[in-house]
Amino acid sequence: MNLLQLALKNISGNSFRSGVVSLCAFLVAAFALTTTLLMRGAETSLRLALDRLGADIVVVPAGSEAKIESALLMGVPVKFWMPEDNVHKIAAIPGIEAVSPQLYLATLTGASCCSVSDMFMIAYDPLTDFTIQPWLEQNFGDDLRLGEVVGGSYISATEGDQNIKIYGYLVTLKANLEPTGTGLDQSMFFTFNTAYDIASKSATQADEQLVIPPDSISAVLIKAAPGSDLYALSAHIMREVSDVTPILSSNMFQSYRQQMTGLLKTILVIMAITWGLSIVLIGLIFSMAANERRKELGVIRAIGATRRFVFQSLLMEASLLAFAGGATGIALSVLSVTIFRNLLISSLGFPFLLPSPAVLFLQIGIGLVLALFSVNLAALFPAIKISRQDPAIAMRE
Amino acid sequence: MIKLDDIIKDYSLGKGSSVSAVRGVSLQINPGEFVIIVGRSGSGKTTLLNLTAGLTRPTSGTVLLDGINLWSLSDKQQSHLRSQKIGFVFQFPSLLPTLTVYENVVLPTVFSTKLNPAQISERAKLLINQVGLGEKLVAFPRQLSAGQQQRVVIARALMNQPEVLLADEPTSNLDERTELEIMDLFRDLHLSLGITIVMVTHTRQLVSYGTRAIEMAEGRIVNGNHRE
Amino acid sequence: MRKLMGGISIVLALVIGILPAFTDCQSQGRSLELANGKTVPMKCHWTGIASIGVAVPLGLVGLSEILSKRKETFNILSMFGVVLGALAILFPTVLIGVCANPDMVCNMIMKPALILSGTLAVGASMIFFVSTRKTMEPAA
Repeated sequence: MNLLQLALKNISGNSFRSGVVSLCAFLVAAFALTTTLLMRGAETSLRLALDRLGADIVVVPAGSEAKIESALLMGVPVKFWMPEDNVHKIAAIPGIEAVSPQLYLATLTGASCCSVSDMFMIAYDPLTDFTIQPWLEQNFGDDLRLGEVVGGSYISATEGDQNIKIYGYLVTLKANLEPTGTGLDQSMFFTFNTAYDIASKSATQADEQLVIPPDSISAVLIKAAPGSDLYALSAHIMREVSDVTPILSSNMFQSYRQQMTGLLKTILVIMAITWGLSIVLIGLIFSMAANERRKELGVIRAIGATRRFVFQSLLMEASLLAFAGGATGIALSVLSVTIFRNLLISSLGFPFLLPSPAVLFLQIGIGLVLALFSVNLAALFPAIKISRQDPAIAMRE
Repeated sequence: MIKLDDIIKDYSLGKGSSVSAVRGVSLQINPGEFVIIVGRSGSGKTTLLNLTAGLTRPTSGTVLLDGINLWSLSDKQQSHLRSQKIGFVFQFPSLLPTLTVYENVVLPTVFSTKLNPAQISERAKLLINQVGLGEKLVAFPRQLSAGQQQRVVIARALMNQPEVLLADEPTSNLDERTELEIMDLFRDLHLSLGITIVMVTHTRQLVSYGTRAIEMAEGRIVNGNHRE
Repeated sequence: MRKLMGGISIVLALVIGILPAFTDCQSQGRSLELANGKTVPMKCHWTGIASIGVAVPLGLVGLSEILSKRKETFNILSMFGVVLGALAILFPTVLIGVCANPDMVCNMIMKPALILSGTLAVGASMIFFVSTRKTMEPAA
């Protein structure tokens, strides 16, 4: 028999007490990991969405800032327009390397039921685009043809192997992009030509016509020249072009960031309280246990155990309980966040992406270490006290 | 050989006051003796036994075990010595409730042993059979009577083949018949193993089991051959 | 221990059996319209029906675990718990499935709830099975 086996026997000897300590470790680990998964996942989503956007500045009609953020992050379809001429005005501004217009369209609500409803469609100009084109060239070596689309990770073909019907028009799903965890996963990208073709044919083929106002675009994506002052550029754009708002990509999703920060602060406070209370409760339980087992520990000192053995024995029990509770909490946390991800996104109002296996492994490790540290910290003082006690005094009535 | 030299043990009661449990006791116990220390409750006999085993530090005086001053050793050395040379039988039920009879008996080998696992198993089963509980190997303490539990404690005390067996009122919680059975067991062990036994008791009638009797009162030896 | 496991099985059976009725698309008023104009329920509805087929035996397993007197019976019941829990996971994922749209209630609530309940049923049954077997084996 060894220290581990002895500790296991002692744990099973009082299941209620062991259960309470494990439960505290469970709560600490589950809470910590869930918070980490949500917050870091949200940050990753935002970063990937911005990377996908590829632009330094996005110019939208004034008052549409919130709409475009909802569209990109949460996949809420939007429609807003500004004159196409804005592209030329912006292109003429010094310090701008490239500009590319985009059209934002939406499918009919429930049009293709049960695959993806309310799709957010982004039409781009292949002559000037610098976001989708590079990805297409890297993966396919050529552009999208008329009627071809690229979908976010959630888009799937509903008509046969490769086709999707939108506004009565059959498009071919050429490929799916990598997941971002944001509304871009429910988006579809195609060229301006495809957009206009869909619009013109929807008059006869669709239940509701897709209307694209003439000479209109929804947004202008800007790539700044290296070393440009983005704030100065934005100010210049607002002077040159009326009724528009330039949004710096670094400022994009500010409202979501604020929402996340607010939520994070609340969660951290709750977590700190939970952690503190758990430490106190575990400390009390171990003190009670050490006191109750005072005679027993005195006996094992009498038959040859060192003070160190008694100390290690108590901490071994603490560690085993922490590991059991912590591992269960972590497993449940990962499982719940993974399978309830869509519900969480819908409830919290911001997206998050689950981390890669390597990062998840690291976060799990940190969660376990936190659980182990917390329980051992709580058990430390009672363990020191009882191990230092005179065995004769410990065994007295 | 056990030698206690002018041992004093005071317990602090707080606020500057203390009580003397042992007042200047000198005692030598030779190998192979069966010494019975009698005295009323509070006479200091249990404290004397605890001092002998190194379970409590004397306020002054020395405790020598085979010429080694117990309190000159580190905790690790002292625990090792205690594990190897001393077996302890307690007054109260001292088996670990979460361990079986077998696991309780092998417990001392967790702290130190000269035996390999097969030898440990063999010796444990032998001892459990010797104390008459061969069929109770996997029983838990709660499934045994007080007398049976005490037999297991004796088996545990002998596991590491100690030179000295210290017994602190081992029969005080037992009925008369079981008490005599346990005392017979002690005598048989003394005769068969030649082990040194130091036993404290408040029952004068048990004095006849020993080779020497010592009486204590108010922390001092008042009667008996306490010095060679 | 047996009463605890039995209680857990009954609670999970209730979740598996009842929750889909309120979280499939049919309950939200959404059905599939065929080309001929007929309306039929979608996959998630059939997953919900199948889940009842898992829930009822799981509930009976739970009841039997509470009433079982023999450890061997309890072990067999635990194994049933593992199988039924696995089915609760497989129906919404592999065997039948739910709607593909991540925003649909069957995807957001029903499927994850069934997976979670099934996982808990499998996990708890396995833990109790192993610990019961340990108490059945003689110690050293």
